[in-house]
Amino acid sequence: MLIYLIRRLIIMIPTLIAISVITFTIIQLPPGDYLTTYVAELQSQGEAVDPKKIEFLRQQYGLDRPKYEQYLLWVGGILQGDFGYSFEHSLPVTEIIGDRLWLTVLVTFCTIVFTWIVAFPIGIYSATHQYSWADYSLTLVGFLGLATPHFLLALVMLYFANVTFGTSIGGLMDEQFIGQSWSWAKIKSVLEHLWIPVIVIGTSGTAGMIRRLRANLLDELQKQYVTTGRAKGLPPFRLLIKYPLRMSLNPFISDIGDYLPDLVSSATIVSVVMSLPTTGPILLDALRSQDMYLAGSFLMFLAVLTVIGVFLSDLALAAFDPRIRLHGGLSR
Amino acid sequence: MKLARYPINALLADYGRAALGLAATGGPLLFVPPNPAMVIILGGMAGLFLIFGLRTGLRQLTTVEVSERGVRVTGLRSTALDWTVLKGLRIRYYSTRRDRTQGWMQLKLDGPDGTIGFDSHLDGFDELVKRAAAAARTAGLTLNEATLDNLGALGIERAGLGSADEARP
Repeated sequence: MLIYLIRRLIIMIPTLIAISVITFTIIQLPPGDYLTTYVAELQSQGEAVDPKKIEFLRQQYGLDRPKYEQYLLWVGGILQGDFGYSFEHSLPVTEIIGDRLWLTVLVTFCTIVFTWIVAFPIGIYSATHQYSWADYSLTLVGFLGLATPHFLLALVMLYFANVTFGTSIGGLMDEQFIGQSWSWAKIKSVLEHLWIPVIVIGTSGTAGMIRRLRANLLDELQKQYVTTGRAKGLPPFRLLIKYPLRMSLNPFISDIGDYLPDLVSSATIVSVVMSLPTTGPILLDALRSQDMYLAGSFLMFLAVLTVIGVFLSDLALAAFDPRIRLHGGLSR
Repeated sequence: MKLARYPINALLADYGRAALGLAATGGPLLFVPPNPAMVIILGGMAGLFLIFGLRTGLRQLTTVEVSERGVRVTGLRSTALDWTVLKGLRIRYYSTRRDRTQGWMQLKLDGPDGTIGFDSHLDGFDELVKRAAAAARTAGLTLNEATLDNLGALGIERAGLGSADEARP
């Protein structure tokens, strides 16, 4: 396993370097920089712009240096925990992300738990009771979940929660707690608001997972080893859990790689619609305003999380299913 | 009796990996004053690459003797296992590719004095596995499904080798 771990780590290193170069190139691609956009915005509002001040700012933020120098400074800063300075917010990037990152992680973690808790029993039931009325009904619900746009469901749920439970519209807490330190009342308020985005964001994922689990499990249930297990008198539930269900979980282990970046960037549109204090809307604003260090740090963070996620899922797959594939071959 | 060693090509590749990994993770620690979290992450990874490099060095000094009687590993850490006292056999397959091709196998043999590990880069790995499987068959060992599948991929019959996962009413 050590050799596998080392080989996977070796693959990660050039991948991360390439990603950092690509990310930096992407955030530099639009013509001009943040200050150019800033000057154009001031001029469009009829305000005078002092070229000396702009030149001073350009020098101060290192925007007049060659691109490779800017890149090295940026990467060197990240290694020291300094993600740069946000021009738009006039604050260090780490301060802007602050609480938002933890709230984003909370929302996404709860969504993943919701998705798994709901999808697994339904997916297993649908597969083991194929073509029953319950299977048809759950399939219909699954298709509805897949087909309903997030933002539409968000609006409906906001209205429903407000009318039924009196929950305030939008946000992850009542207004009086915004910017306040954490207290039991604030936690209670977050919990009162949290279930709405969790259901909204989790619905399509739940429906998708039900469909995939049902399909995977149906494939496995038709294999000969299941028939052999039945013929040997293995109890049906034990047979299901120990063999076909385990085999049908491999695609879900592979999906772990997709969950980590979702912790930061998931459901940006829903966050905008529901005014959630998560990181998605900030990323969107940073990309629109060419706030290069904020946008770059976000993109780099997402890429690193993706690479780590894929690494973890590969480790899990190697640990759970260390079998050769018949089309494979050994390297010598 | 057959003598087997790890081929120099495979070892050179592993030395290269260890050096590259050490440079990529230890280098930033030397040239940029990193923050504590980065010291832990990069330092931990550099430690892993260092261990891997040392392990590759140990492999270079290792010779494996496979005989009718058992397997003997000589080098800095010498050990031996008689086939008659074989307690367990596991073969795992690893690949860094998404389609899981071009990978390698790892054989673990459990004996009374501990576990001995080999990987498929070893010259004569197939012969070693065949003898180990025959010994497992004689000893009536039960092997897990993954090991049985991997034995099958190496052209070794699974008949006579009990499956630890076999369905029992």
